[in-house]
Parts: sequence; C-alpha cells; structure tokens
Amino acid sequence: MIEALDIQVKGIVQGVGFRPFVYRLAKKYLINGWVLNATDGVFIHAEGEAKLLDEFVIELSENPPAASRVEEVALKEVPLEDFDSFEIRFSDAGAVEKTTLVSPDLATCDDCARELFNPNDRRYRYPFINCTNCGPRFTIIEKLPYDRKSTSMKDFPMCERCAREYGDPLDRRFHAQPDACFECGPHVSWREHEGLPGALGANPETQTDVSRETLRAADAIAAPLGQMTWGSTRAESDAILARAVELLCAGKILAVKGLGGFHLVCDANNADAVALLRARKRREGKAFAVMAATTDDVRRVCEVSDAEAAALEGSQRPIVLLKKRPDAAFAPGLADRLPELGVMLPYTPLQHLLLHDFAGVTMGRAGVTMGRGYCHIPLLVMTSGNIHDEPIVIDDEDAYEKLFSVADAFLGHDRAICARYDDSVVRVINAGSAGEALQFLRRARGFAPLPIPLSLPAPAAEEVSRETFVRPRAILAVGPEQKNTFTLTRDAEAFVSQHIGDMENAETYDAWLQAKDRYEALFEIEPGRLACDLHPEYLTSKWAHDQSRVHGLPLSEVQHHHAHIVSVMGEHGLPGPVCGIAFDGTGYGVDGAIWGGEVLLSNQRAFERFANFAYVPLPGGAAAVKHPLRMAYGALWAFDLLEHPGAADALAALGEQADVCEQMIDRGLNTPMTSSVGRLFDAASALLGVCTNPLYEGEPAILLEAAMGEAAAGDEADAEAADRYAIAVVKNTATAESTAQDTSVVLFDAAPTFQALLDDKVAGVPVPVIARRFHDAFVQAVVTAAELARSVYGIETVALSGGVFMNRYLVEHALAALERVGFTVAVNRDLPPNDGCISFGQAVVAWASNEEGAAEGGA
Amino acid sequence: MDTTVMLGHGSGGTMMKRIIDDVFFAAYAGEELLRGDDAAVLPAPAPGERLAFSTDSFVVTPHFFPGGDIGRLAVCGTVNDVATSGATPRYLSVGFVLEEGFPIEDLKRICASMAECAREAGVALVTGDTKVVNRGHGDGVFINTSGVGTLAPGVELGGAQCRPGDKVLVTGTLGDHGITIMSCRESLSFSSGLESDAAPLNHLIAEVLAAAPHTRCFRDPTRGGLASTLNELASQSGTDITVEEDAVPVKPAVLGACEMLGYDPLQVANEGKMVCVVAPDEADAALAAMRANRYGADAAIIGEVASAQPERGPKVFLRTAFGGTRILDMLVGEQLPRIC
Ligand SMILES: [Fe+3]
Ligand SMILES: [Mg+2]
Ligand SMILES: [Zn+2]
Ligand SMILES: [Zn+2]
Repeated sequence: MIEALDIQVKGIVQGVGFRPFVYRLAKKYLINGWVLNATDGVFIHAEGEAKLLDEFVIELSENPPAASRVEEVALKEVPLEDFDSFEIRFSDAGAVEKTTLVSPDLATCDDCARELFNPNDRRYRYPFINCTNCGPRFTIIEKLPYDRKSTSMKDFPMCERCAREYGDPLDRRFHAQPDACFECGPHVSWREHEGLPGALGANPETQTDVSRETLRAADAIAAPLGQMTWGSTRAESDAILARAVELLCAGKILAVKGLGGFHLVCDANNADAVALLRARKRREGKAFAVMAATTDDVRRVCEVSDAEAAALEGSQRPIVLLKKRPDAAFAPGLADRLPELGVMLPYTPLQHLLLHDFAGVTMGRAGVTMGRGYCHIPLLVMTSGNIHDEPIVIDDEDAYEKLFSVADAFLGHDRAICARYDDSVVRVINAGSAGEALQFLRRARGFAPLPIPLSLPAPAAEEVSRETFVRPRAILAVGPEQKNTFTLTRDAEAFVSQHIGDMENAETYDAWLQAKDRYEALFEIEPGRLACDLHPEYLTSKWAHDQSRVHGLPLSEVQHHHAHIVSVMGEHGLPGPVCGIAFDGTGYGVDGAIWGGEVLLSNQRAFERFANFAYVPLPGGAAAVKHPLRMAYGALWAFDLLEHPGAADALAALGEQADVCEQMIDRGLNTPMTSSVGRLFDAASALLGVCTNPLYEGEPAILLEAAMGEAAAGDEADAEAADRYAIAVVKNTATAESTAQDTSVVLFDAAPTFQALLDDKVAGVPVPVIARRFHDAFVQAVVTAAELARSVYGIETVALSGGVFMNRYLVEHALAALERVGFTVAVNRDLPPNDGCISFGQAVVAWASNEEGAAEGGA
Repeated sequence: MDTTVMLGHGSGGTMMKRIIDDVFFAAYAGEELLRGDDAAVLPAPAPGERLAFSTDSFVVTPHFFPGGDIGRLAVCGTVNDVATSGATPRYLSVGFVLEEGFPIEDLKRICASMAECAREAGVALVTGDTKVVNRGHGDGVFINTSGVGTLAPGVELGGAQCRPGDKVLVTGTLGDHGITIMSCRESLSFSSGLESDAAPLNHLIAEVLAAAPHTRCFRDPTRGGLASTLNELASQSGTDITVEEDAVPVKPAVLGACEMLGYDPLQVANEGKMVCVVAPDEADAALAAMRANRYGADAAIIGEVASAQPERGPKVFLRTAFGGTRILDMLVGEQLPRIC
C-alpha cells in the first residue's frame, strides 16, 4: 500500500550532505516526493510502499551522514499527492530560517584524502579539496544561511566541472559550498625571509650549493620578506610544498595557515628547532602540541585506547592529550616532565600534504632526523600562530607582520578565514560508570558553537507550546577574565563561543568583541539580559556593567564557583539541588575573599556555601599566584608550620621575601584571604621543590600531578599515611557578626595534610609518594564533603568543576570514590572544567532566574 | 611655652592667640596674615585674567617621612592642583585640625616645612584656622589647604583637549610617594632607598607652558596612580592612550618594593609628578623644559594618544617589554587577583 509522510528532521543538517543523502536513500527505497531545507531543519515529503517507507525513515534516523547530528525526526501522515519522482527542492533564502544549525568545520574525509593522493584524480594534491562531508564551515561563513555567496569562497567562481559536481544530487560534492579545484579555487602562497639559500624563484646561478647544512646555517629572520609565490598549478603548488618541507628538515620554522588560524610549525624531532620556536614565540615551558600523520604513527609513541583513537580520528580533530609511551623518546623541550603529549591528526588537505611529504623526506633519508635519537615517526610541532598571549593570527598580511620575526617562511593561501578558532584540546578520562569520557581542556574548532540545550525551569516549560511560545529574552553571558568564552542564548539553546583567551590582552579583548558581534549577527540574537562574574575588576564584568547602564538591560552577577557548578548542572540538565564541589584557582567570593575550595549546595538559581577550605593568606595577591613559594609561606603561616624543619629549604629559597611575606600578612597589606585548593596545590608543589618558578599558569599543580609518576599505591604505609594526611573537618565557629569572612557551616582544614607532607619530606619519603598521598587527601576530602552534605540534606548528586579538576588523577579518583559510596556524579562533559565553562554557567543562572524575562521580548 | 596641643588651644582665647603667634606667625608671617583680620583681602586679578581655585585635605600618617612631611604635602598638593590649570598659584589658606596631645614641636616642624615650601612655590599663606579635637578623635594632625591662582587669558588646559597623535609625558619617576608612605607606615624592612617626591611643580608647569604652548593638559597622578589618571584623560577626551612600559621611569628601589608587595607601580600614588599631554611637535620642547627643572630630571615621553575605536570605547593600553599589549584599567576597588 502506498502511503505519504511529511518528515521533519532537526539537528545539524546543513552543510553536511544531508539532502543528497536523503535523495540517495529515496532512490534506494523507491520513494517519491521531495526534500527541502526549511524552517527548523530539513523537510521531506515521502511517498512509497509502507514497508519501504518505514525502512527509509529508520535509515534516515539511524544512519545519517557522519558529520550530521539528527536531534529529532518528526513524522506526520498526509494525503498522497502522487509524485512520480524524488527531487531536491531549492529553498529561497527567506524560507530557510536561521534556526537550522550549520556544522562546525570538518576534517578532510577519507574519500577526499584518498583523492588527494590519487595521481589519477583531478584534484590530486590539491590543498583545498573537500566535499559535503568535510571541509571548512564556520571559519568561512560571513552570514547565514550557509551558501557559497555568503562565505569567503564567494571570490572563487566555480569552473565548469566543479559546477557540475555541485549541481549533481548524486555527487559527493552536491552543494558543497567550498568545492573547488586547481582551476577555479584557492591556491597556496609562499613567502620567506630573503637570504635563505635555495629560495623559490631565485636565480639558480647564485643558488648552486643548497644542502641541508647551508640552509641550517642561514638565519635570515631579520631580513625582509621576499616576493610572494603562488601555487596556481599543481607543479607550482608542489614546488612550494617541497620548499616548505626542505625548510622544516633544516630546522626552520614555518607559519602555516590552517582552518581557524595560522600554526607555527617545526620538526618536533629536532630539539634545536623546538628551542628556536620557544625563543622566538616567547613561550617558555608550556608543552607544544604535535601533529602526526596517522593513528598508527601515534601508537608508536603514545598509548592510544579505542576511545582516544576515536577522539583523534573524529571529524573535529582536536588535540588529544595522550599518555607518552615509556619507551618513546621525545625531543627535549617538547613536553618535558609531563606524562602526556598533545597530539592531533591532519585535518586540512594542506596539512595532509605537509605531513605526507615531510614523512617522505625524513623517513626516506634515514638518519637525518632519526639519528637524533628521538621518536621514530614524523612529527611536526603545530602550535598556535601567535606571540605570547595574543589571539592567533588569521590573516596572511597580519601573519607577515606579527610573525615576521618568528617564522622563517609563510605558507598561506587566498581563502580568507572569517572567524578565529584555536584547536580544541581534549583528553579521555575514566569517568566511572559513564565509562570513558571526553574531558575538554579547550573547546574551539570542531565543537563551538554547537549549542547546548538549556533545561527550562519546570513551570515555564509547560507554557511553551508551539502556538503560545513567547521567546524568552536572549542572554549574553560575558564570561570570566581568563580562558574566556562567552555564551549567547536563543530560545532554549546556549551558544557557547570558542575559546577566546585572556581578556587583559588588548587584542584578545578586541577579538572578544568581534566574536560576540559575529555570533549576534549570525544567529540573529539581540541580548535582552546580561550575566557576568561577581569580580568587580574583570574587564568583562566592567563591560557588562557599562552595557547594562547604557542600554538599561538587566544584569545578573554570578559568583564564579556557582557558575562552575551550574555549568555542570546545565550540561546534564540537573535542576538541583546538587552538592557542588568547586576546586579551582581563584574566584571572587560574596564575602570579598578569594574563593576556590568550595562546597556549594546549588540549584540553577542560587547556592548556599555549605563548606569551604579554611582561609590562607595570599601575600601580594596575584604575586603569590605567580610565585608559589610565597603561597607556600602563606600556607605555612596559616597552618602554623613555619618552624617545621621540612619548611626550612623553602623559606631559605624565599630569602628576604619571607620577611616581606610575614610583614604583609601581619599588617594585612595587599594580602587577600583565599580558600583556593589550586593555591594549596601550588604551595605543596613549591614546598616539595617540584616547581618554584613557574613558567606558565598552572605549572606548579601540573608538575605536582606529573611528579606522582607511576608511584604504586595501596601498601600499609599508605593506609597509615591516609590518616596523617587527612584534611581535618571542623565546625566553623565564625558567624555573620564575627570578623571572620567565611561563615559556612563546615571548614576543611589542610593543616594536617601539610604537616604530614613536611614530616614525610623530612623522613626522606620520595617525592612521588608524597605527591600521591597529597592528591589522595583531596580525593578523600571530596568524598567527605559529599557525605556530610548528604547526611545533613540528603543530597545524592554531586557536581564537580573548577580548574583543579583538569588534574586527571584527581577527577578520576574522586569520581570513582564518590560512586563507590553511592553518589551520582556529574562532571563537565561538553565544556572544560576550567574557566571555559564559566560563561555557560552564568547564562544558565540568568536563564533560571529569568522569571519575568519569559514574558518579555518579542516573539 | 606649651609642649603639646591642648583643648584650650582651640578655644579662641589667649591660649589660641599664643599658638597662633608662637607657631603659625613665627613660621609664615606674611603681611596679609599678620594683619590678623578675619578675612584676607586680596587684589583682584588683572583684566582678562581668571581665577583658579582648588582645595584638598591631608590626613597622611606618618606625619614625617623620607622626602617630606604632611605640611609639605599640604602645600604641594594644592599648589599643584591649581597649577595644573595653567594658573599661577598666589594665595593659600591653611586649616588645621589638631588632636589634643599633639607635640608642639612637631607642629612647628610642619609649619616650618609649609612655609619653606610656600616660599619655594611663591605662594602666600594668607588665612588660616585651627581646631583642636579630643584625644582619640583625630590622628594627630589633619590639614586642609585651599589655593587661589590667576590664569592668563587664552590658557585652556584640560583632559578633554587630548587628541590623537599627542604625546604623553611624565615629569619623573612614578610610585615614589605611595610606596614610601606605605613602607614607612607599615615599617617594612626594605624601606631603604625609598623617598617621597612631594614637590611644588608650578614653576615647572610654567616653564613647560612657555616652551610648549600647545600643551593640552597637566594632571596630578595621585590616588590610583598613572593608570587612573590616563583612564580619566582617555574618557574625558574620548581617545585611546598607549604607554610604552619600557619608557615609564620607575626607580629600581620602587620597582623592587612593588614586586615584593605585589603592587603595580602604575597604580601607586604620586605627589610630586605631573602627567602632561602635549601636541606632538612640541613634545621634545616640553621634555627639555621639564628636564631643565630640578623636579623634572627624570622626565620622559611615555606614550601617545590615538583615536578610540567606537566599539570598545576609550581605553588605555600598556605595550609591554614583551611586545604584547595589555589593557591598563582603572581599579574599581583594591587590587585583587584576577587570575583563576
Ligand atoms: Fe575558575
Ligand atoms: Mg589633589
Ligand atoms: Zn570530503
Ligand atoms: Zn574547479
């Protein structure tokens, strides 16, 4: 029997080859009718044999294109219209409401990668090959709906052959907006500093003796940039790639244009090149991420689980932090002292070509890089193309200027990047009963700005039917000061921006404004409500206060750690109350002190501070954050351990600063009080001599975690140690009337932990063992806090967030320990536990508090 | 002679007469003051001239510190405020609030210091007042000064005058006063080498104005330091200001102390310094004039005014030694870590 169905598919269904997929499916199941991009997704009118129609719908729902995300398939039986074919209907732009989601950028797909290296393909070695299943998306969009003329591909009219593919519903490139070839599309460009031997296009008479050695010796970074060369043909393009590889092999540094910005690239197996890159980029200490050609290559140097392989190979192609193999050697300076290495696979055709050709040369001439004794796979450092804290460079002209004295040569191209996206950084953690889960450290390319659904507060949700739906006011949550993201809401969806960076940097601040404007324009959002952090000095908070004043918009000030906890609640749709445990660096507390070790009983609207870590002085404020020895002094002072013999070397290392710290604490001079757990990790790291002079933010804690190494746990000494290290739980005697700032119910006092640490140090217990016992004390504190809250309030759900939970050991062990005693545990899943989640938390709080807001604003 | 201030010294009776004669008149017996009338009667300004008028109160402890004392501060503060308008400071009033028990010796020292400073600045102390409060109701001595100056026709200085391209100068090293006072007050162990810079700058200002007639404004970077002052100028004139960190003069002792204490020298108070914005082609002349003055030896051109981007509004930037550019903001309250 022939039946007819109207089918509506919602989710990520634009720019991912969804309509051709439907078309092919219709052919397969002998379905007639049409498919159309329309309001709220893709609409299909399908007529066919009932049984085939069912199979059609099932395959549609269960086996959509890899890059799409089907969120909802709505079916409605309708009268037959007797179509005799299946067609793709073209939407007029007005009909396509912008509620349809465009996918983020997609890594080169396997089909395109095959064609890229197939000498018989017309796009053989074309650095911009793509199809509907892969290629740039958000980085080239100027406006929505997503259409070639609304992207930076608008300057490249398609050649006849490309146009044919583009128009053929059965072709993989049907409506692939960035589709192109050598003949009609973008090309790579090349510029290098003058004076390097063997320059492209230079007079061969004067360039006879180009060897790796002569190249290596030449350092022309101060020389002006030479002429631009274009890779307009395959031969020219290949010559440029060959030159790029030649320079990489000679230890030079390239700036290479990627999807969301430039990378700085060098041979990761060449310690001199790595050191040179560090010096020129002014990046000390912090690990570099690398790119390897294949997962198999990666397996030779890192441990790769199935979940990690899936993360590596996913179309988002993030940097995945992987455990280094104990038998693998890495060039010094790459990621020293750390158990993990950030690795990614190529995600643009240009990167594929670069890795492929680089591997060909280095592996072909054995002994060139392998002779150095580092890892035996071709590996390129791929670090963001910026100097210090500035945003990554996205424009070729900017690159020539800003990276002038960083890169020896520039491998760019003429397809403009419309939006800046850093590489995302993830790792796979063991998330207890949830199994292996992604933990974000930075969410950007490939993931942002996919929306996260907002769980409506119950009463409002019932009123929202399609007919009476009144749009709630859109919210702009401006985020924190560092690792900033912002969040915009539209209806019940939250668009969390890509990682923006540290706002104090002037260019990052501008990048923030630009990105915000872009989101507002793309998604047609006009914020009717603002949310910001409680910290009065955050530049974002000041901006929000100004805007609120000027435009008369309501502003929610959200406490930093409440935002952390609510971000987890929002991601998991938990209404609360939950026992929120925020272990963090620093955040402004409602009492004016610096918080960061908090147990907050939270719902999405409000919180009560149930417990916190006992306050410790921060002598010199930010100075104590930058100098962990000062933090150590603050801890020793607070815990009455200044006289402990185990503290003597730290105090000696502080020298006269110890007196200053004493005087500052004594007189309350520029010495805020803090409950931060992150700072306690800093103090422990300094006391153990693991890290006293950090080169980058977070290093003391990162190295303290690394210092544990594989120290085995669980012997008798450890059981005894657990008692000594246990963080004391005391009833807080401070009241709202007393001078003490923290008036929560319970205090966690780390004095015994530090006492035990110093005792062990004096007793000669190895640092790895001390470091592990220290970690375990905090794992236990998490459990104790949750159990206390449960015993008093019966709360069974725990939410963990805050930068300290980027510590793999801590988050994995805390999760497991909590589940062992029966808790339901939620951690950040779609966003990083660091301040990258703050804006979303702010937005959720504003959303949940938005009672009057639901009735305001236009529909 | 009494040795400490007593309540009777503020009574209006003979005790009060005694302290006025012995202490104040002895220190700065100008003609106008000596007349002893209730009001100082002063000549009117010349035709076309205008008056500049400013007032300030001083409550600093300790009262004596390296490089100055509360009296010197009280004279310099008001003299400098009047002078920033381009006016010539002429007359000063002085009001004392004394705490019962304050040593007369100290008062005499303060008055002598005020007199000397006023002489140097060329201003006359023409009227005054003294009150005595009960023990425990004051901090030894509070001083209020008000000053009047005359402003020549055509001189129009002000923060709103800054325009893109202008140069920003400071008359010397920054942070000296604030850090000195703090380390003295808290008797910190590393206060050696620190000295307040309190100084009357009216002559220096006059010399700069003569050398650089297109000077836009002078500003006294007191509380909140250079950062606050530049932010005020930027928002008054709707411009951006960019400062080169390397160019900002800071004494090594001050820098060291700031690092120890976790303060930013650009946020620390000054008392003997001026921030000055000058038309670009007169910047060198202004700098030379500053350096020729004893209080301007360390003067420097530290930055430049640029047009603000409407989207982000007027902002002050610090180009760091690293080559990065940092937003230098005005603090809302006290300095608190923003690092998470
Ligand atoms: Fe945080
Ligand atoms: Mg003043
Ligand atoms: Zn493809
Ligand atoms: Zn083509």
